[in-house]
Amino acid sequence: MDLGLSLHIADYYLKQRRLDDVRATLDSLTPPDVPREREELAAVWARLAHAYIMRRKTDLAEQALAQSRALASTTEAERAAALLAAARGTHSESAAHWRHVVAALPQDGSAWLALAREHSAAGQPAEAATAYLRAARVDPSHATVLTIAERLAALAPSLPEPPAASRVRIAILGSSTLDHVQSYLEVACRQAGLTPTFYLGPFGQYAQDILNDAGPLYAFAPDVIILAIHGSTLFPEIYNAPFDLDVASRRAAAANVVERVADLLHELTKRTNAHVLLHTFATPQYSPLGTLDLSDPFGQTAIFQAINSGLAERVRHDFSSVHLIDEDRVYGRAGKRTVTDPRMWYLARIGIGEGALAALADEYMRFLTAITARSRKCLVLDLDNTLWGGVVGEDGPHGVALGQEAPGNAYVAFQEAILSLWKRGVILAVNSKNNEADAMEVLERHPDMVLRPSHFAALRINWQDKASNLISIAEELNIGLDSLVFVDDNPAECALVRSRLPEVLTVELPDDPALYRGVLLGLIAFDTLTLTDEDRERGRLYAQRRERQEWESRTSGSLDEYLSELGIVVEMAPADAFAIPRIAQLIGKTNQFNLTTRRHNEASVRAFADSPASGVYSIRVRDRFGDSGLTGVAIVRKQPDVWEVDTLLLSCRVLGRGVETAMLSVLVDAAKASGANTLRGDFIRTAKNAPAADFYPRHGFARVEERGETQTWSLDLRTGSVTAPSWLALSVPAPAQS
Amino acid sequence: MDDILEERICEVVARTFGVDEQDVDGDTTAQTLGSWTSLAHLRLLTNLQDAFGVRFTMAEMTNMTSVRAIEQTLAAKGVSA
Repeated sequence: MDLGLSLHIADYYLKQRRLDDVRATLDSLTPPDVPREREELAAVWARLAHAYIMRRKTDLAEQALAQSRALASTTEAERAAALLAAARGTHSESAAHWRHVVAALPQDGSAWLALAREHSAAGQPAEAATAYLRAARVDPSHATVLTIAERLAALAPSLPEPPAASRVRIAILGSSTLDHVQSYLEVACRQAGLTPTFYLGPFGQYAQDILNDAGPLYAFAPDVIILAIHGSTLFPEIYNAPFDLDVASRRAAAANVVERVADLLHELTKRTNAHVLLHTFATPQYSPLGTLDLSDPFGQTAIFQAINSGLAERVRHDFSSVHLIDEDRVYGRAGKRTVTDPRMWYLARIGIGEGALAALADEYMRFLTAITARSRKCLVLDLDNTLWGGVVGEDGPHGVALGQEAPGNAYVAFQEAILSLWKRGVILAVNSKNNEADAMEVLERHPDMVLRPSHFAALRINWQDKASNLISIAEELNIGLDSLVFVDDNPAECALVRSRLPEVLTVELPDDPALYRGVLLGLIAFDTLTLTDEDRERGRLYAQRRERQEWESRTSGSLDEYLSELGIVVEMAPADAFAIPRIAQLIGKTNQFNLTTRRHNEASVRAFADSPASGVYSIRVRDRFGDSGLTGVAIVRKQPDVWEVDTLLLSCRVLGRGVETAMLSVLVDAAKASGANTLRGDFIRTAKNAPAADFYPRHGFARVEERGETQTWSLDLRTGSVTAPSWLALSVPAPAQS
Repeated sequence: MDDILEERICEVVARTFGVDEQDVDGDTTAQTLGSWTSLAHLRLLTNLQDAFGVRFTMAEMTNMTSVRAIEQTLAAKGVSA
């Protein structure tokens, strides 16, 4: 009989679970010679083995598997072998087989899950965790994410100790069932390289948790608190029947909601400096007034707008550690009708359901990325088929697609999104394989370019490999590779960079340029907690920097001459209220010249500044090329005899000019003037702050203690002193009359 | 009871709760299987809906706390293996 027909019959019997008949059919066949036919037959034997395993007939399964392997190696046979090994309890062997399966079928989520389970059973928790995270990436469906979250949480105690910088403690409080929120966050955090620990407040008890000084919330010592109060719990009358009240009463009720939430925030922020992610209130899908809602002088839409904007204003003025989760926007992205499954709401009070959880987790990750100082600073872009359509080297500078018509307009829209990022303080660079002249012709002269050379802090337009270019860009800009995002349409370039430079976030653009803008807007990489004037100016500052460097490369003469000619002016003063957000931002992201890397948030900095027992200094630097702005921070703790330097950092933009010596001289003088006899400070070694390692010894401090990564240095103020370099002008305010 | 349907249901239950397939059979209930908690039950319902292409009502969701009950519910909805 024809092989194909026999295999069809065997498959039919398989579906009917008539396994003996399958066997008989396959046994009756002579092994074919053609490799493709051997593989087909091998696959059916393997499926028979699988079916025997499900029936717990392991001996028959082994035999069928042997038959399969004698003919050819197939992925189905690896799958069957994996299941057999698992049934026998030899889990490492099973894992090895599953690894073959995922190598052949990398998109098979259930295979990754099985691999993870076998690693776990074989006592390999780290490999299991990696496989679970891969499964979640490949199959981000609801049930899979929930399963994986549970498994990861169970594995956590057996995983190796994570680095302190990756740990984040997250409390989740609210008025509905939020267990699934925790699950999605567990997976999202781990995929981003964070190690989360959670406190999930008991159902509906957010107020009790907030007011209980001695309770579990504060004992948990969260870094971040998510507060998701459902509107129907907080203001049921507005939620369900706002039009039972007259307009004035509705306005009052809306204002009252803002007051009540503000009170809650007040109680919370009194007791903790943790960042708070507060949900605003999503307007329900249907208004009780139906289509008449907006004709009403103060309909339901207006009520929710009043509440949400009132809340935003209060948070802006009074609560610097609170950040808002814009529910309408996030749920809008997901599609509001996917947010709540009514069956889940009525059965289990689950207010945030399957459709919205992924979008919500993404939104949380935007804040968490900024809070854990993992936001990236620089977007590096390819040119051909990235910023414009076509290849300028082949199509000529006038032949690239860029303009009002498709597909050129998609590239223009993409450039506009990039420009928005630039205006928010993201640094831009180019990494392109091209003749420089061709590419610059488009960059400088094409009328429809939105981005121009002056928008880019660095340009690598050459024929070198793109990974080396990225290293060179990072060096030129004095930032780490882990601060870069690399965007390219070419899968081969992306694969190269991903394998050579895993710290760079490589984003491979899809085939269709219409989708580019969406990909960029959806990236979680550039969010920050504040936006300062500094951020808005950054693009221009980098253009200045390029000019300065070009001048430097033309200068000859001694180092001292060069430094004097720069005309550096350093201003160091106690921080005022305006400086504090920028100070907190610098504290969050400065890694290299940072003596202690203590990540104080805005509220903590304010507390240091307000207290008479401590002081916060802001350092501004300018030179003949322009004003670098607020680029240094010092925080000191003052006791009558001893001043201690808690924090001292300087942006890498202004290193190498003696600014840090000037800072130290100001602190030494201030400590002496206050009557102290010792100035002390720690140097806490991290992977990135080697540039600061010799700071204290270089200025005559003596090491008095060393514990692990921390060295404590001390200067006797009665005998020691630090002088600011002569080539810079130091400006400090006159001491206040005390 | 339909053997093949029962086998498919057991496979979904085992996969959902991360237990070996040999530990789940027609007699398994939420009481006999430790990992079958009320929150995990919701995951099972999602997996069953995906696997069999059906949607359950609230009442059906509350009742399906054993392999047998799941079989009965699916059969009543016209699902056969």
